[in-house]
Amino acid sequence: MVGYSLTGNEYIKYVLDTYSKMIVRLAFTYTKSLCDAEDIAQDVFVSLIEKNKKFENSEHEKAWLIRVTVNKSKNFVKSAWVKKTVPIDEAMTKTSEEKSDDILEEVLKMPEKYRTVIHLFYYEGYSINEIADILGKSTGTIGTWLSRGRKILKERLEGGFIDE
Amino acid sequence: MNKNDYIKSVDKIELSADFYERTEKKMLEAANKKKSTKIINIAKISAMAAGFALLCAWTLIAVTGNNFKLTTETADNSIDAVANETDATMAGAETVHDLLTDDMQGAPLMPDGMIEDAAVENDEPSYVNGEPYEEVTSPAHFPEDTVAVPQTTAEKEFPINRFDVTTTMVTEPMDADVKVQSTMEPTVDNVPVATMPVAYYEPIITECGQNGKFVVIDYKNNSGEELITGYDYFFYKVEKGKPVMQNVAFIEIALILPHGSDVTIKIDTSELSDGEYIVKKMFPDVDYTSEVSFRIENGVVIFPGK
Repeated sequence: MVGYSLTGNEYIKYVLDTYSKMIVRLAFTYTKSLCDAEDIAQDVFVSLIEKNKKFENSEHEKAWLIRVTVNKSKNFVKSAWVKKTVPIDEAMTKTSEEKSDDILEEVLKMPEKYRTVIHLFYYEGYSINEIADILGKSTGTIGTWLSRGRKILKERLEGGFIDE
Repeated sequence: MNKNDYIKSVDKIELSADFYERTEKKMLEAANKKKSTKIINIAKISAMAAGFALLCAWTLIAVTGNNFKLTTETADNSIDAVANETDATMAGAETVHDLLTDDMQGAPLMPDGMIEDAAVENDEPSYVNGEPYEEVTSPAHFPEDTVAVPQTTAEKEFPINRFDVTTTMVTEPMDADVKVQSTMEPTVDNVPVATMPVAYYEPIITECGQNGKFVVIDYKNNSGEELITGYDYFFYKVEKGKPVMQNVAFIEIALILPHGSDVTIKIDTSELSDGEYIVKKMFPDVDYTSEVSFRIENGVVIFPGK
């Protein structure tokens, strides 16, 4: 089904079914909270409707949604409210210096820029060039972030991280 | 561990049961709001256009005055009226007053004095051989308070029911099944730049250098509107009149927070050579770019006008 050719309720259902999990999971890598991630996803979908963006194809549509999700997530984590609060689970994990067997947990501990690149590269399957386009960065920057992210994972994960 | 472990781990993140329902509702609300805003805008524009046209018509009438009495329809009607009066008078009626009271069954149209004056004026009709006399078309025969030509003309040009149509559009209940693609505003790609006041995004330089190290640029968000999505910053050095990309100088970009916050860009200028620099903020969705420039002389940051 080609979503961008649909109208009205059909389109809303299409984008919700197709992109909800992707957006929430991406936002989660920033917020580390499902509730906040869902709030961001809602904002993203509302923005999609308000802007009435016309997309060339589904890839364009997906890339736009990812970009908006990243921007909204960044703004969320930079907001004064979030800066002044520390999620309970994060506060707890920070006390542990032991190696983890939960790869997501370790990814979430990484700096924001590495998290995003790791997620888009390994979970969404984007190439470095595609990630660079989506995030508006140079391929060199994305490559560096990905490399550093992998290195961190190898150091922190029990049994290392095999990049395959 | 490998990437499949990461994928499995992320897949465990499940959405709330009511997420789809809540989000769909919000999206529909946004779509309806968009639709109603568009309709109201159309109604406003229609009403303004009709009002303006009406004003123009009235102005034209006021300026041209009696010339409007020369329209064909009015002239014909008046010709008939005068001709009838003339025929009746010639048939033996003593005065126009008699004719009027007889024809209208005792309901005189004017006070007696005025009718008598009219009768005096019509003592000598200019009716010649069954043809309308030429004076009929003269404005002097149509006192302003007895001729409704201007109103008639205005109503012809600007039917009142145009306003009724737009009013109906505004108050019409929204259709829940909104056609998102077809009824909403033009796509953001087509949004004219003019809808965004240029000054809105103009950069405001609030601080020049911290120990000669940073350039701080604030973009004031005046409206409180959320400006988060889809923009990029670019940092250039101007060399031989052409901008050359220099991304490395960015050390911090505090993104715009929603609802009235400022955004601050800090640029480490300590390792920048002397010359001109440009910071561009691009809004791809609306095809708009704002920029601020500065130059470095002997390691000192100098903004234009400072």
